Amino acid sequence: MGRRLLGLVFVYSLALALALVVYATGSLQPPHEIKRLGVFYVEETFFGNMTAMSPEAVTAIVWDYRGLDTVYETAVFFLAVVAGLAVFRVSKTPPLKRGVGLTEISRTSTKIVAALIVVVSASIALHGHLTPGGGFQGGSTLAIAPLLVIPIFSYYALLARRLTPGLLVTLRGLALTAIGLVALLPVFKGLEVVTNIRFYPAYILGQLVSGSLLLYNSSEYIAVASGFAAVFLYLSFEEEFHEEERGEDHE
Amino acid sequence: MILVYLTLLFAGLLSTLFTYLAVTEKDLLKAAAYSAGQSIAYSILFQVFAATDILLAYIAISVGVYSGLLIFIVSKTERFEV
Repeated sequence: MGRRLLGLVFVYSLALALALVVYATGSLQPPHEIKRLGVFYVEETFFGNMTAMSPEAVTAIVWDYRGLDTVYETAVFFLAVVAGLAVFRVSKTPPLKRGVGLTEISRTSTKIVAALIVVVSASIALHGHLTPGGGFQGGSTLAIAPLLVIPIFSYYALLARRLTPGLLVTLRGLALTAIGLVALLPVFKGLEVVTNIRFYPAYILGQLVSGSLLLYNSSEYIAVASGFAAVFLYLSFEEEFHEEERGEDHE
Repeated sequence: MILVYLTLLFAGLLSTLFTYLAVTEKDLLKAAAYSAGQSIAYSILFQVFAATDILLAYIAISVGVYSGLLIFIVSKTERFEV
């Protein structure tokens, strides 16, 4: 314990020394002017000639101005989940039993919290073109709901409601296909790939939807949430089931 | 402005403490909890830096998904580090 405390004192001394060096060099002061690139995005995202019709500059950059970067990011995440699922190599789900779960108090509070998580995540994703947030942020928030439900109610609660890993992986594939289609559709009208405002309407029924940004955000929302949920479900299956599955594979 | 610096100082020191505790802890479940504490301290930093988009992704991933994954993985091995 004494050694641990000594280590902590050492770490804090190091942090203090670093902070003093940073302060002495004057790097702590924030810049007084915005960089030219920053000014461009702030001025153009909603009002300028090169507008993405979105008051949220970050979403406009992520899905419109630098859309190709996001394509690669989504591809990396997609491959990571595919690799994760490939490690388990599970083709079936465990037979349905009645899960035990935790106490009534935790069950009731989880029901309330899970409902709140779904609402908040939908708000983060679907308002992604208006306020901070977006598809990835909303999707990763929604993924917390199954993560809570699995230990509290046991994974049978999800399987009994047909929320199987197979369905989640299919949903994920469909959502990613939708992202691809939204990016490719303008090509059929002779426009560039990932065209936004020149192809998609900025307003629908008087509501600002920022062209393709809402479509990208909602598809990414489903893709990220279902990808994470599938991984959690596979992880929650008992080791005996995984061993059984592997044994059958070898035969 | 002084409140911003004080919040930065508090969150920075808190994150350092949680990181140190997470690294030196032998009980892996406790280490996962310390790691979540460090993530909360970083979330405060992101909010102070006005990086709300990063914050929304970071808090869900680092406090929720990451801690959940760690607990799942610990459940498949042993709780205490030898």
